[in-house]
Amino acid sequence: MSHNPSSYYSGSVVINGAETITGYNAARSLVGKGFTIYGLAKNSESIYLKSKIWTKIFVGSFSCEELINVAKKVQSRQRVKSLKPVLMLCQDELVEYVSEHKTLLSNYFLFQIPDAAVVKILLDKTCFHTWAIENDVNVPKSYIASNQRDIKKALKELNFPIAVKPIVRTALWDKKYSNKKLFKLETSPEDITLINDLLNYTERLIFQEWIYGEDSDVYFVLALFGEKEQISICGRKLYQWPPLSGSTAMCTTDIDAEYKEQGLNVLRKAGLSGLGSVEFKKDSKSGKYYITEPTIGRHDYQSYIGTASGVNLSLLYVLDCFGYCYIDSFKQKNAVWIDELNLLRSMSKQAKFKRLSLIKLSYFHKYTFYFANWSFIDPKIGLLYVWQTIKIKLQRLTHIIKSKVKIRC
Amino acid sequence: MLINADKDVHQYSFSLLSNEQFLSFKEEWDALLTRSDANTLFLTWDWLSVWWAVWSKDLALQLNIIICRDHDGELVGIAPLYRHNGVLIKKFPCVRLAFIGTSVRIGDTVRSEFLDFIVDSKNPISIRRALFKEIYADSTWDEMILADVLTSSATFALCTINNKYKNKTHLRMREKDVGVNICTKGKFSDYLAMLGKNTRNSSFTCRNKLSQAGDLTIITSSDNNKENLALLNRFHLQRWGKKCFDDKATSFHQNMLDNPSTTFQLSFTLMKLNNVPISISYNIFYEKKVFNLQLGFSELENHRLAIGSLNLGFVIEKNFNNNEAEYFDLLLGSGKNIYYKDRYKGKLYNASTLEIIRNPYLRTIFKFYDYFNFGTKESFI
Repeated sequence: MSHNPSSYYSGSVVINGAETITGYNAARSLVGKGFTIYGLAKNSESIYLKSKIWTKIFVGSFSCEELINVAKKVQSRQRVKSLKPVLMLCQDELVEYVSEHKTLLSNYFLFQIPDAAVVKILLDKTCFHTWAIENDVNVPKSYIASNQRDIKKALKELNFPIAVKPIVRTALWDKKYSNKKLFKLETSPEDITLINDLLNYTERLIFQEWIYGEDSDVYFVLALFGEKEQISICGRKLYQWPPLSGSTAMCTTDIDAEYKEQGLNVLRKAGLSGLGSVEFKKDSKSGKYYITEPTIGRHDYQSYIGTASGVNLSLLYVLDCFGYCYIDSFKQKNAVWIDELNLLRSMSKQAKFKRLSLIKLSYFHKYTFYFANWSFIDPKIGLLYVWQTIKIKLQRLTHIIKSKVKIRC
Repeated sequence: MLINADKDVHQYSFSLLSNEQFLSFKEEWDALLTRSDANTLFLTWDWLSVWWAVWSKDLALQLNIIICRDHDGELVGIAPLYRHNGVLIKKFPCVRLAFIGTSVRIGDTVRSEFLDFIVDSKNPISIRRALFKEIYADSTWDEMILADVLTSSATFALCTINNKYKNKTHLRMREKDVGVNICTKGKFSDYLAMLGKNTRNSSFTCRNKLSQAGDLTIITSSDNNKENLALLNRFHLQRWGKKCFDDKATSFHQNMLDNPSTTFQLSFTLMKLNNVPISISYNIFYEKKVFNLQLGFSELENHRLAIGSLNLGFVIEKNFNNNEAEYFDLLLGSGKNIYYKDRYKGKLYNASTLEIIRNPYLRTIFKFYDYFNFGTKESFI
């Protein structure tokens, strides 16, 4: 542990999901500030674990006992042993787990997370939908199905197009439909076997009336409800992967009082404490904003846009947990955040269907660009990412060539 | 000078205090301090005026206290600063601003902690912003050192994450430190149960063992100051190889002990075994809080008892029995070998010494120096 006069703060921060882009970006938001950053990862394979940002990576499944052990190990490396580390979450499953064991874990970590009941409402799509209707929150008309009869009923009652999503993305679902967050049904299918088949990979499905609009009609509010201050930033997606239904491939800062207030209201009503966000889609026909997805208690996939725009919510969360003072007087700068590979995929897919418009990119010539994998402070990850991508492409190509040669032989 | 400090409605006027004005400013100063969010012993007029009287001449310091009044003429802010013409990196002439009560880069004085701007808690941020604006409007200084500022203070935020002047300055953290504040409002038995077994034994239970070893007497008083200060020095010389108070520091404390302040009370807790002093603690009571300024002790032959911890334990216990005192502050800093203060299960707080360099040449040198981490040292925390 060294003290650099240019770093303002001190203390240890433990970030979960260190093997993911989200965890890595959360850690990157804290670089150079003086904190000692530790990572929690489920496996030791990911390229993000090779970053110099991490002081140490703990690999495991992280039950309460394991988390307490991590806290004890981190504290034993500090000179002031009783200074608790801050726990920053990046994955829903740990948010749920930590909220359930909040009292016990708060003896070992500093963190801000809503109570388990609030977390359940916002994480479970069924509960959220019911809660949203009770609280006058704009959500698309939906139907939950757990058997064939429900599916038939949903298809009968809702207007097409319909989006079909799993309530919980299980490992089975991810294995079968990696990258597929939803299916879009344009018209009533004659054969519903395929939809019935989805229930083999998840217990319940949510059927939602489709909100018309492009990727760039998706807006979001990222917020920190700290002990003293409530800080938020607004953003807008430009590209998603897969288009219209996937994760952010490119997003930008955006200021719109209407959806900002709407988003903050939802988080306030729900009883957020700590980090959270709300995603909206603007219906291109009615101009109404519909809430599509809340995130609670954790760093979001595109949260680095906050750091890029000068409102570093991850840093403010850590400062709030440690009791450092900060004042809400941040000016949001114009910035763009890009997930490199997803953007290329999304653009190439849109080009294939002749829907790619490069003109919208020209609006951002004065914006500062930040990347999910590439940064000058940690170039190793960017290079590893390029190398990994090339390797995967080459492996696929070799596989295709080999299979063609075999067929010819 | 009347400036529009914030873009809001707050308008403030500023002036500098002369030496004479400072000496007669006690009433207004302490009244603002009690209204402020930085109400601590080390910012009282009594503490700072004695410090100024003892060190200002020797260190060639010039008073630079900025006072801020609102449009009704009411005192709402004080920046308790002084100015010093010195050198930086041995060669570069440097005009330095610093808090009265500290002397980083200048010389050795007593350590005053939790220093800050004294501002009315009704408007703490906008007054601090206005004071900073006024300080930055003065183009004559090259460096400002704000020592031992609490990281929970808005002053810390305005120098770090909310710094409006970061393009014109280079900010360095000269030192980061941790202190412990024990709440003594509850029951002493509950507090004891909260402690670890070793701490409970070494600081409290072992007092019985010590009394079995001979005739143990514990006296708390503010008499025999000279002897007590000398005793602290003697114990420190034995343990650390140097005195805790040099001649100037002794005269500072002597001055305060001889002229008892109306705002705080000083006392010594002396432990004697068979009439031989074995440990002494020096404490000051101010605004429901006892500050443990110094602790000195000797090692007992044939006894493996932590004499210093026993003295501390006694003072903490006494604090629990004192209805007027609600907190016992162990202040910043660590022990000789380990950081022992967190064992007492108080609330931890952080403080930092901020060095703001404005001179463009010095700024470049220090940016380069810090970028390559030449100044890297083992972090205390």
